[in-house]
Amino acid sequence: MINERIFIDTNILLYLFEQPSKFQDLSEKILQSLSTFNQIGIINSYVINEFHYNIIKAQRTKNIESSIEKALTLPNIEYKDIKFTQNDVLEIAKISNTYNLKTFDAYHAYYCKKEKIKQIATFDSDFKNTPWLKIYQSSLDERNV
Amino acid sequence: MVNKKNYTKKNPQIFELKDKPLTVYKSGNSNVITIPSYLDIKPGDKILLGNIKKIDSETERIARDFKKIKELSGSMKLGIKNMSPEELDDFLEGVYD
Repeated sequence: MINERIFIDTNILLYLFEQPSKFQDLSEKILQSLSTFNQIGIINSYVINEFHYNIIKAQRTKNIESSIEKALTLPNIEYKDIKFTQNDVLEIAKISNTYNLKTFDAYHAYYCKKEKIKQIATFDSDFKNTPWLKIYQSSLDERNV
Repeated sequence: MVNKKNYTKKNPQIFELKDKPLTVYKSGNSNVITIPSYLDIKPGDKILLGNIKKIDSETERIARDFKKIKELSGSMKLGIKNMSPEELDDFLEGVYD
């Protein structure tokens, strides 16, 4: 049986590791939902890049190895990169323009399209307009974000 | 059900089932493992079991995952907890500076 794959946006990881808040709770439920329904959360180097940047900015430290290790050891999370060609990068620029997505968001959206990932776990409403992506709803929460 | 494609016969005495767990059942006072009939093992044959690895039940696995998530959750001070997703998005914008 092939486990369903869900792309995990950076904001889910950031809120999860942050001190208690409404969004931390929701992020936790998303991770719990992946585990409960045996789904795989996919992250890549672009997610880690944003995560890394935020930690440096927030903590003003370069000692972030353990933070990244924490993200990589989350249950049901898989790290997977793919190679982008010149044509891919042009497609990403087109997606950014068409759907009004920021650069990294366009990379995430295109990655999902190329990898045939149909759902993204995110709090970013910008993804609502990408026709091949559905915002992942944890079956364990009753969020209304 | 175990598919024949999922096992290899290395030699007449060694069978290797790939990624297919065998389930232990209760039968009277004994625990019984069912062996697929296409394997050349007959009633009365004696076999040695080695490298037995118990696979967690779904409930055990989920409980372990939840515990791990709880342990990691809230383990950093990033200063973003009061930010809305939109504010966080703007904060992350600096990644392009």
